[in-house]
Amino acid sequence: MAKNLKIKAARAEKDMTQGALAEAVGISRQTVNAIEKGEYNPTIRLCRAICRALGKTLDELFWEDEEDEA
Amino acid sequence: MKLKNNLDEMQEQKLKQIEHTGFWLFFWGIFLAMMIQIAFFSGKNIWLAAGEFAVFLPVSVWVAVQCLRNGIWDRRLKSDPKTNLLVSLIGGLIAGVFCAIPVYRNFGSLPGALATFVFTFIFTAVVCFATLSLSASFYKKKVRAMETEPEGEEA
Repeated sequence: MAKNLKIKAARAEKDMTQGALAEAVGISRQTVNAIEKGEYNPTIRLCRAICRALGKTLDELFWEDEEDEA
Repeated sequence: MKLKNNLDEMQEQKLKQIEHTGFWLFFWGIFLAMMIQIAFFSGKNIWLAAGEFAVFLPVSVWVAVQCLRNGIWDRRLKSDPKTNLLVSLIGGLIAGVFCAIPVYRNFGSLPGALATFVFTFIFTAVVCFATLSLSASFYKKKVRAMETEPEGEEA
């Protein structure tokens, strides 16, 4: 799974650390880290919670073109 | 009182993977322990592995029933008669070997051990095949029912 740099960029825009995002969403920092590294595929429920915390849409944070999905 | 879940979804998934591995380690560990006890340590006491068996059998039946109820057969094996026959023959072979060993060890009789092997092999293979065939028909019936379930009515 590819790295999710969009979440990292959205966090940076909001000046949020992984810990702060984790706290806002109610998950552990290791889970945020795993999502950003592409090691964990979150459920749609968690994706939505992350989007709300970062003020972005699902498309903006999680949409991948076919060639990036491998 | 319901305790709060301290884990998030990724940790929950990891814990389930750990529990999954732990379950299969227990399952095959108990199975192996039973087989070794029966083959090498039972002597004339056939009840030696009864404790393990009392845990192993209900757990196995429960897992099988839950899989069938949810329309699941196996990750890789198909529910066709050819596969069921092959699995039954392997089961019969294992049971035959592990039942023949104590006969040879206790009585030193090769013909007796061979007869035990043949009888156990045939008996286990037939019972296994009948059970698998019956389970496969339940499984197919369940899958058909799930596939034809009207939209909006979920189990």
